[in-house]
Amino acid sequence: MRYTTVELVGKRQLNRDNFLLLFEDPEIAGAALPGQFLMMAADADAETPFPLLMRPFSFFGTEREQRFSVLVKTVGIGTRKMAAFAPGARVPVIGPIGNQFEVRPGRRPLLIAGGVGIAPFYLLSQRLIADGVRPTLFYGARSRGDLVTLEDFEKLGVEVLAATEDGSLGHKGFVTDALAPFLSGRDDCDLMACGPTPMLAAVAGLAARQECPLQVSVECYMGCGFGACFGCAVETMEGYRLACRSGPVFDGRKLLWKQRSHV
Amino acid sequence: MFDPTVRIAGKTFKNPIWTASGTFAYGTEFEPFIDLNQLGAIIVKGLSVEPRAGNAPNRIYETPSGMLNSIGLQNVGMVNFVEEKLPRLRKFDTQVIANIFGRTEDEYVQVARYLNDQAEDLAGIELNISCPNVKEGGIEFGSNPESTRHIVQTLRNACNRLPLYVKLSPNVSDIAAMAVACEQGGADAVTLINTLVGMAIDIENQRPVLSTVFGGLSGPAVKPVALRMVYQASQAVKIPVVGIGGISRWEDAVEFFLAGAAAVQVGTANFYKPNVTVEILDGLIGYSERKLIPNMAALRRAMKGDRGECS
Repeated sequence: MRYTTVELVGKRQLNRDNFLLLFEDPEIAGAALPGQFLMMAADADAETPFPLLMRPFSFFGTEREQRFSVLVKTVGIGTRKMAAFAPGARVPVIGPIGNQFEVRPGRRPLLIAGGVGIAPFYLLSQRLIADGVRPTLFYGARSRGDLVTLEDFEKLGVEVLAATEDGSLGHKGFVTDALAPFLSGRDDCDLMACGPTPMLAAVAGLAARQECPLQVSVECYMGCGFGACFGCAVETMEGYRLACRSGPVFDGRKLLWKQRSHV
Repeated sequence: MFDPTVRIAGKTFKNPIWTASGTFAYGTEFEPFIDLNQLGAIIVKGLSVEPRAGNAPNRIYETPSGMLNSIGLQNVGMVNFVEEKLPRLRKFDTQVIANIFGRTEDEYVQVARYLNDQAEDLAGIELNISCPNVKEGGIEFGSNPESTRHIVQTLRNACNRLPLYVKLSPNVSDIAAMAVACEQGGADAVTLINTLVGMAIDIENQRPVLSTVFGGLSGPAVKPVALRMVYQASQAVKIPVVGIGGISRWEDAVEFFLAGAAAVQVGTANFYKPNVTVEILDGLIGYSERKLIPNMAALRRAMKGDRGECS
């Protein structure tokens, strides 16, 4: 983990609100593991940055151990600034941070993504495919236009099952509706989920009923991202754990799901 | 050549750039980013008798030029600190000050006595008195001058070896009176400010963002308030004043020294710029050499003119 600046070498706009930013840094790209994240600043120039704090982003993918990408959805001033980074910009980051998704040999990985929760799964899929394992991705969003990078996964050779709330692509409804029938009768699946908290809670309920192992990548407000502020507490059955130190990937069966005012 | 050395209560600090409690964990989290040997002091996360788990999420939230926190004083407890955290910190050539707190007067005394006896090599104990006294219906220990003087006196009596710093809350109407109360109680120094009380509301969910509704505001937004209070406290007491509040650049630190601070603590800035303390130290040295200031005492005296006639 280091604190450094990385150079933006490419940018791809996926839809109105979503962007893939490509950065050059062999040390970070070479070290990044599926599930890990980095803290990224939106403002490199000002002495007092605005927004002040960095924000966490999963590694989306890596290229030839030289470059890495992150998926940014514009939800506020910080992410809008990030989406407007110009090629050549040097962006302060801290990373790689956190633990990785654990893949067990002989098991069938099922990746369940909701909205921007798709972010950590491309890197995971890259590694799985390289190891000769074909993951199945359940990807849900409001409408087909929100299923960003779907084509990238298909090109990679991942089995993709889409779900949209408006029925514009794939199953009409939630991603968990499609998951339940898929799981019944199967006992060799390892679930990995990332997305909005209500989706994660639903997947956790399903995994518990089907007695299926589940790893969850959580999202929460972070202060520093590297264990100094104690801000990113996550409620587990064993007490609070810091998402940056003990996560961001947790055993989904050990998490407690309470309604919070965010995510 | 500028000499950045600071001496407080018989302890020598290589420079006046310290890190604030709660922003530097137990120090080692910053090893990947800076050489801890360069720091004047590390004030570790507040310690209690027993470990504390902290508050439910959400614990933090960014606000304009700052952030709210409601961490809940999560800490490993005084025993684990001495047995596991402190040995690791001893490897570095920097002073360590232990911030402590309690829910009752007895708990404060218990932690202070334990550290006084088990951790002689600490540079001091920093008393967090912005905590509710559960025996007195939750009123803060540091809410008025008399209760402040009393708790400081009690701790002074309990703690005969380690220097005693008292960390003051800004949520008071007369900071100078609080500083005087600490001096009367026997404190070796005062540090200020702790966080200002604030809140934020999530308009989509129509609920407070923080699980505890209120939280502590820190960061550049609080600097003008902190600076004013350090100035006022410095006018009111003879004991050293350590300044905290929104310091994110070396220029900020110089303002606090000119206001009378003997040292400063950098807090929130560590989160978004993990090497900020070293940058501030370099900037301080550069400034002082440019201004031909020989040492910290001279820097504190450098602000001429109207001293204390403020409305």
